[in-house]
Amino acid sequence: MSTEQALGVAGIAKSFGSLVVASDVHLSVAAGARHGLIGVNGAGKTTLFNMIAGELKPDQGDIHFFGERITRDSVIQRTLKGLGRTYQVSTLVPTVTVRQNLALARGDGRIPSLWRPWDDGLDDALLATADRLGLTPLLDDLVANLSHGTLRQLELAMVLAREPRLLLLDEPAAGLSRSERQVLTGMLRDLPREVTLLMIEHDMDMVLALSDRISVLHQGEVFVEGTPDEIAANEGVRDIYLGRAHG
Amino acid sequence: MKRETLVILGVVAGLLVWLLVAGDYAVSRTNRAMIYALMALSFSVLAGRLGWFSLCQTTLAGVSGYVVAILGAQHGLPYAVVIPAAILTSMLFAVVFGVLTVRARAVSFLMLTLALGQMVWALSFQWVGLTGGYNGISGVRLPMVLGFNLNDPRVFYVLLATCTVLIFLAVHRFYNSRFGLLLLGIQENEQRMRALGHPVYLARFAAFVLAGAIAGVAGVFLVYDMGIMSPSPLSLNQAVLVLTAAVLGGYRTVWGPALGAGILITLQTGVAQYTDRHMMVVGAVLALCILLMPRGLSEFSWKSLVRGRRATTSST
Repeated sequence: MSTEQALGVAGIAKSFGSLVVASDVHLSVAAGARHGLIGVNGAGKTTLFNMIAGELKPDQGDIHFFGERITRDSVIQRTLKGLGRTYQVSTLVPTVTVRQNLALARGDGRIPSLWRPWDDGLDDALLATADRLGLTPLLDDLVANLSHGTLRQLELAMVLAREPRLLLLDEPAAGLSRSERQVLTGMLRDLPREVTLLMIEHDMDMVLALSDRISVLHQGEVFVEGTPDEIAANEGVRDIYLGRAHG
Repeated sequence: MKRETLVILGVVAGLLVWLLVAGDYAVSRTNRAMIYALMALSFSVLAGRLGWFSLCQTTLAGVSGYVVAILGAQHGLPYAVVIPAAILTSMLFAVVFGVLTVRARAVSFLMLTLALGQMVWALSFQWVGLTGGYNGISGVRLPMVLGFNLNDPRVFYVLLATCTVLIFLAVHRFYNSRFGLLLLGIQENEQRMRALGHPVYLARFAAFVLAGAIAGVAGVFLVYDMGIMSPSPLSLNQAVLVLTAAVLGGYRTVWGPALGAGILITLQTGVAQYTDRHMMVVGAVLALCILLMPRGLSEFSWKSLVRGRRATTSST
């Protein structure tokens, strides 16, 4: 694993009025890492993701992506640089088919052809990604009719089809059954190391199994960072999760 | 042969047969129906693909009508200049309107297009020096071409029907294109489309200008069909009529707007022969249609009717 930094978050702060959601967040994710981001509800995890992805502008601080400052880039610019993300709620385009959703996966920042049929030249790599996630039999199903688990698979297929350099996963296991979680864990483990993962997840077994670094976000700051073993053994982290005040 | 080709051939054959069997009055009403079909198509491009309900598509058509009347009838410029200038002016207005509306959502978009449309409408009867006010500009005529008088309803019909069929075919192609799919994606999930690298505002803006171009073409035909340009085509009445045609026929499909415009003009023409209160009858028929077929005639199925109204109304 190289020591290149995939993501550097330096002194990010964000408030909504008097509500401070991030006070001074520092985070460094090495290229190729599997980095877990945990913390209780309201710790500011998704807000941090929104700032990294560009949907929310931080009040202070800087974000670096493979050494490049992206703090002022738009969502589309960051996407085109190789940042991918999934959302807590996998809403895609319910009114069209799985195949049509896949066709939408690879936006290039420009207006697509008005003349070329949407399925013309739908490339094999895209369909291969879908196949790896078990979507092949469902290609012509309407997305509105998919089960929650399948919807998550499709979301992942769409973002992986972009071959992102850094993938932000916002609670990928939320709402999945036990067996679906196991499939997902295996899938994420098999991802090539060219993809760096930063993952918010409440399922501790999954976080501990997948991550090589974990950061614990608490009250708008990184409370502690370490290996899965260190985090599991940390008294303060347990206190946070049990609702006790931390020292 | 592909089913699509058969449908197109069927439509062309139907239009030809109609030209042979219909009387002059029926042909001129059909011309009007095709013009409304184009305006309803312009409306439907935005409503069906983006969930944007515009009340200014008739305004954009009216702008193009005024350009034809002013440059053509008043200043006598050649047709090859007048007609492209008219369509380009509609697109230019769409560019300006688009810049103002591109970030708006459902209701605010509707209100913005209403406000913009009403501004231009007010201008059309107040700027008497340019538009002739309520009297309008008369004497808008098409030329003789190869011995055919294009002002003759039957000759005009051939020209209009050809353009209408071609435009509907082009829109059909566009609905099935990557851009058409992206617009559906934007309608459902703007945030996601941005995260997948699609320029959301630019795409919406392009769709708005495209719809403006269709309205511009409709406006050119409208002014030549009427022979006079006045503020009335820009009134809210007309915007609502076009909206009604699109909703009645089904604005999500390509041919729904044509179906709706056809039915609306037929109703108006047919019922008016029997009673002066024809608008009441038309209104009642429309209310019934929309209750029974909320997605419009073109998406009507017996199954959804039998399944009960709950299933159908919830889908609007």
